[in-house]
Amino acid sequence: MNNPVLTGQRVRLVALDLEEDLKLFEEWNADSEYQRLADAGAANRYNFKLTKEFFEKEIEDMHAFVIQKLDDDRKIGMIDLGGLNWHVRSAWVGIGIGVREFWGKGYGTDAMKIILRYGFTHLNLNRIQLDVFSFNERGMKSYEKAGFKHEGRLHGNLVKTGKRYDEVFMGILRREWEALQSA
Amino acid sequence: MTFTTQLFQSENLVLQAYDPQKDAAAEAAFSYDPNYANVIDWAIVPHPLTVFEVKKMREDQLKKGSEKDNFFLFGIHSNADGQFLGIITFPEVFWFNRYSFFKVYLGEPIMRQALYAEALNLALVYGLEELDLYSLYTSTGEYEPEVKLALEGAGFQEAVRQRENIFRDGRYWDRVFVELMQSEWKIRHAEVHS
Repeated sequence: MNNPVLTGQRVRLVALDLEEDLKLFEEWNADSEYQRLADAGAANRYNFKLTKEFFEKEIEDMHAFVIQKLDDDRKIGMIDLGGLNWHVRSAWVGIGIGVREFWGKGYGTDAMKIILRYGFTHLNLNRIQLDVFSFNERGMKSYEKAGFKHEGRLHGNLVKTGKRYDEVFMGILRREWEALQSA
Repeated sequence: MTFTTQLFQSENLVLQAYDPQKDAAAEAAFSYDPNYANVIDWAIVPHPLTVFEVKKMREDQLKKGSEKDNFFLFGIHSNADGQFLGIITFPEVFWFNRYSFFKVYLGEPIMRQALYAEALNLALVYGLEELDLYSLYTSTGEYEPEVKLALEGAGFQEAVRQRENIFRDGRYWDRVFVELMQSEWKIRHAEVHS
């Protein structure tokens, strides 16, 4: 079903199917580079049953979606708003495009623009933030395109293949997002 | 080989194992301070907590921490009379990357003014020497100028400024992350103690 708020130029965001989509997550996680781009910890293989139990327990507090292509309905990644602080009206966003052939083709940027619209116009948030690893230049460019601004970095916080990288923080305020919509 | 550093003792302070039975009542009294909420969880709405809530929270944290070995919590006590003054906490040490967020909190403003730097030094020695972490970071901001100043005085540098991520006194404030690298701290620490 198409919801205009959750539909962009190339993708739509749909609720998770806790059977089928978790199998997709398992497939995507088999690509260790995908995990290294998305996770500060060590890449790992996750037990399907435990993953399902985690989502069943946490899903009520999550605003998690699967990213689905508009042209063929293929599910290619996930995006979620978490760590919601209703007092401050802010949230963290996380995103991953699990299917490698769709990296760098604008699907993630489109999904990010959708979730910003959802967060600011439906959840009444004032700011949305993310962290990204300094080796993920493609990700940073995508977030800049969606309107995020750099807010600093924790130096050398991440270890990957024996080298230290920075944890980069980016954020966007509601008024900045509104200005982008009217530009 | 002998170790000369006393990790749990300084001129005016002593770090004790946090005791939910004894310390929760004093800690609950601190929750009237809006800055206290950021010590336990940035995402919670600041409001006074019952002794029951604090006791349960700390018991749960200590239990989970003992299972995962990545949570550290100390009660800060007065050397002179043993009074519970505040806490030092490392809520989640990331062993894989060897860094941690941490908080030092003293409940009474007069104690913060007099003893924050001393308590902070105990936290730094524990985190950067005993836990041997690559770096430490914590959150602060212009809403608590005396704490920010003390952190900067200990060598912390502003690393991240999350705009409008604290709401206090009817307005937004920036949430500032300050960081200190173990390598930099070792140099400062050696200079101070030489």
